[in-house]
Amino acid sequence: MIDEIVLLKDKGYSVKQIAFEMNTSIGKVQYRLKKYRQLQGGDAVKGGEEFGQAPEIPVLYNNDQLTVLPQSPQCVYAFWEIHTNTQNLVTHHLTTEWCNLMKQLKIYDVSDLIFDGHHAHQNFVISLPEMTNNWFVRDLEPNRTYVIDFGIQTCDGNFLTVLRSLPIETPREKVEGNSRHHTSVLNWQSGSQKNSEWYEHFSTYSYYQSLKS
Amino acid sequence: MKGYFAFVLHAHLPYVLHKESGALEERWLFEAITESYIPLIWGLEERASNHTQYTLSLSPPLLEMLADERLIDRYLQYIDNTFDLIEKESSYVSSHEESEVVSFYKKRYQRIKQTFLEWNGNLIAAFRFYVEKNKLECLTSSATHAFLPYLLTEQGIRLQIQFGIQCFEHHFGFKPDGFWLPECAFTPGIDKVLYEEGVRYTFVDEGTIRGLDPTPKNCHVPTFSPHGIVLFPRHNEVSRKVWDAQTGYPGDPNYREFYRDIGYTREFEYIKDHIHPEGIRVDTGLKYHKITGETEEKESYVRKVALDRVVEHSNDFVHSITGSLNENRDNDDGAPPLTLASFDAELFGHWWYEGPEWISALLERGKNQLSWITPKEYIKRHYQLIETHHASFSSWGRNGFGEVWLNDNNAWIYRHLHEMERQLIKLCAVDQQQAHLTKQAIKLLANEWMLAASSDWAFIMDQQSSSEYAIRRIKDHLGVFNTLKTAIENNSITPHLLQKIGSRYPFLECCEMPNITSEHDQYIASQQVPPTNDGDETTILMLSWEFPPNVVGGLARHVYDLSRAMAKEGHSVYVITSAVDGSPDFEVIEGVHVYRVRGKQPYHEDFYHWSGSLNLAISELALKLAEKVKFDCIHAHDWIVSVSAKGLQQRFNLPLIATIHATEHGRNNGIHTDLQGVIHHKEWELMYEAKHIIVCSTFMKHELKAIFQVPEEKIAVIPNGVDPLLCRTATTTGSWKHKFGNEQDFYIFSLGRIVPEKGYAVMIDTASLLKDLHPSIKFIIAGRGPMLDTYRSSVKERNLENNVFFIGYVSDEERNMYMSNCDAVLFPSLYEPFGIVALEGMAARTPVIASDTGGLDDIIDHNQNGLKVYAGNPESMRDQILVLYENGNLSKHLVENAWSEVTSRYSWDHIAVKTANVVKQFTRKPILTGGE
Repeated sequence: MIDEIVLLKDKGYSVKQIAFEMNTSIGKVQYRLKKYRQLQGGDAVKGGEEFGQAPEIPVLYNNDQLTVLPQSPQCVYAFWEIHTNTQNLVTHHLTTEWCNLMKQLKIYDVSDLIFDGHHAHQNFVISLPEMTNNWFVRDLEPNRTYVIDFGIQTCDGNFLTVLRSLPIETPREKVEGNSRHHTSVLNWQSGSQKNSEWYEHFSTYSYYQSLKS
Repeated sequence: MKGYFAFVLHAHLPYVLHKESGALEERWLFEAITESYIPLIWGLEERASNHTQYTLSLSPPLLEMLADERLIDRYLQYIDNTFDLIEKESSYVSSHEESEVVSFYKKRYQRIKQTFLEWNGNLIAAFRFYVEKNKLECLTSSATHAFLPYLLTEQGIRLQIQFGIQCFEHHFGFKPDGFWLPECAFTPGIDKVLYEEGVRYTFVDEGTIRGLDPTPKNCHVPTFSPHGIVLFPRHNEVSRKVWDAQTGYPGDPNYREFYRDIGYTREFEYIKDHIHPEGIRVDTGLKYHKITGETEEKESYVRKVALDRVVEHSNDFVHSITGSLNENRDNDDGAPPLTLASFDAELFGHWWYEGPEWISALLERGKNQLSWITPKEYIKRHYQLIETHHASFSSWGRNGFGEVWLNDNNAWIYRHLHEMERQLIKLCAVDQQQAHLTKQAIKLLANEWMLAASSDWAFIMDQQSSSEYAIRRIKDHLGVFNTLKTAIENNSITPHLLQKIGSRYPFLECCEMPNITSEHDQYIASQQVPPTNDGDETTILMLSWEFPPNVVGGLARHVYDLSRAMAKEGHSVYVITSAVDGSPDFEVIEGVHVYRVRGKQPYHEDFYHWSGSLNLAISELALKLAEKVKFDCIHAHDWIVSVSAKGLQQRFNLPLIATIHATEHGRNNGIHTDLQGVIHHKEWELMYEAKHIIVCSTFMKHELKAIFQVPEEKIAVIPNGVDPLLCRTATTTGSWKHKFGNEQDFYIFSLGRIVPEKGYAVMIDTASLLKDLHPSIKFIIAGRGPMLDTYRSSVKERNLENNVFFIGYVSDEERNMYMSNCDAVLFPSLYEPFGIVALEGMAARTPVIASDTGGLDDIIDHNQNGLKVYAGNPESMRDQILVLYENGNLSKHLVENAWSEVTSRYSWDHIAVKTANVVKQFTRKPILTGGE
């Protein structure tokens, strides 16, 4: 009996349909199925909802990443993760436990600059509460390019960058007098620039990015 | 008429056809088929002319569900169940008005079923038929309707676009040249991928065009994006007449009311067979009221009155389009304006019940009154006039950007979606010669990611109404993704597992997985060489902040020579050092892989934090390198790299060898400041973490033992080496001597930083002692430093200007020239951890005189390979100079002995072997027993 139930189940029949097809009660089908699943205990596919409860979402991936997504002309969303290894390096360098370090986001306006890690049109800092791994950064200017650092405010008053985001452009809001990219578009059209001079949000991701051979 | 009109619908539902029938969300599809898609097909069927073609985008999830064979039975069951209910209702309702509505439904559902069966349950075939009849133009969207600007990688975008196009081609038999951007969400860069995939036009919000750079003259004229995609803007004001909940046509009191479904109002016992089996009340599709107005007392729906309003509303719409077009100024030179109305297809029929009839009325009325055009035709006629602009990130969502899909309720999903994207690319990069089963698994993995990335989930969470289902779906896909990923990594994929996972959502089976591995990753894989380290050779990760051409002290030279010699011995050496402007990030120097990294704050004012920043960068690169290179040990030089050395050693559990070239204590003759204290501590930590320590002199060994209490057995003394080739000069004559005196004078050369501990003050005193008796003995001192001016004045004051010459900086070539052609080299140091210059003197085949301090004391064997003087003692120095001055044979003897040491004990080849021996003691290389 169970084989037939499983067969129908695999075909996508509901319990009700199976009961109807096999001329039995829903309760009986459910009971058989339950038994069958218990016996199949170590099913390899966990996570599929029909293989039981959906799994919990991983809390961390143990990666170093700081990603920024644009939400609006004034607001971007930053989320990050610091690998425990990196936490240890910073702890070692600053001789302070990770949980006692003052974490900050530093936001640089790098519009039309080749950012060297220091100079920017302006920058500001957001002090982060402990146990925070994401932030909506607000009060930005539209049509600007930003870079965000996650870093530590050291006790000697310095800022030490731990992670840096890729540049992100806030969208335009103003409907008149937009001309920041005028020349770049002309250069691009005429073919005098091989790569676009404005920032494009995607790059090809290479797993062996920093490896050379 | 100044311009055209175009009408575009986008049909989409998330993939909700679960393996088991009866899911609540499956009804979304049944309702959309019943209320929207089939009535749209009726519209196409009834219309005789093809003058008024409109555009319909069908998303891949919808296409895949419509094409699924399981749908036919399930849908027919749904329709039959509704029939049963309608039958029951005919005897249940009492009023005349309600009976009228019931009989309307009866007829309508009969026709729906009839249409469904006429097309054999294949509605795609119906749309395809009308495309062939030129009544309709079809295109598609991204594979799972992902909000493309929030994807992480170009490959992710390409997968979404390519799979979308492949799926459409599979169902329609041709490639679409238009593409519906999910949620009209555009951002720079998407256009590049679209263009590369053969797409020529897409649709954006009017706000996108308003925000163009440079500002366009008219925001209802299509534009080229930089990568050559024509962007067609939606006309907001005209479109609002349809979609706006308050002021739009669908809110008319005579139209059918959406919410009062009998599924919610009938007695449970009566209705229970027609709602969800678990007793959850749902829409049955039978609604008897009209909107009526802002009152709870709703009147009965009268179909005929509603259809009259449809005609009036279509007239009004034509009128407002004409109005909007007439607002355009005469535009002689540019591309003509286009009023484009675009909507979700499900708005028509599902939300606005009379919508499909309104579309038919509009097509009929607009036939003669409007210049209808399709986007494709518009481009064909006017592409030469379309201008190019830069468009920034935008969508058709609330407030025009991303806040619907990115806010406090849904932002958390992107961390996981991005990680899936990364993992997918990683798995493809790691195994580029995928076996058949792996290939299948990767395809399923891509499916799970794509299904999770559907914009619908974020949208539902934003609405906060039925977010439970959306969260469950993301968890489900994420969970299966991780299960499958682990199976791929562990090489434990079975056909059974794949079948099980794949049958959950049999989706995009028609598509070929494209190669998403970057050119770079392909290149790295092609460079893979089988490991040759089967014997004695080790793979060493060498960390040093200095490396040529970044030469600050002797460290760069040491690491340079050592690494080359070890590579020559067959070891694989990877040096990570700090970047210098003008030098490549990577190069292979005589077999040594040299990586130069830049900290994120490469110009940090604070040297200590500069080094912290450098260490983070070193570690980051080393972790990446370790993905491909299996290191046997880490070899760190001096405290500056101690943070990364310790971190990497712990991470990889590799033995750490540290070479200590100098100490902060020694340099400063004690620890006096906080910073010196911190550095001192870093040195101690490095030595503590190291398995073994290498120093270059017994002097340094004593220093470490005394100051850091390092146990004797942990320290190996391996002297520095010298490469005679680097001490050679092209100048063999002594012509330079004329600058200072005569050819036959006795020249003593010295070289070093002009700082007190180098002992040049003693040398001046010695010169003073020799001046009167032996004026032909001349001292030439090269180098720069803080004491240079002081010494120069002292020479002047003591009238030694003809005997002592501080010549400042010299090039390597000049240095070699002086060293090779002088009569003696002299190093009067008071503190000297090693004294590599003495070796260079020996390599230049010139007799060396040095003080008996630090490393110099180790190197010089008095009367054998050089002469030794008491440090800080001018008389002793004078005596030894005179010994050499008066005895030409001694000079010859010393040079010969010194040379033989340079080519043995101090040769880098020899040192490389000794260093490798230290390393090998601590690397746990598997012992090969041989013979399989």
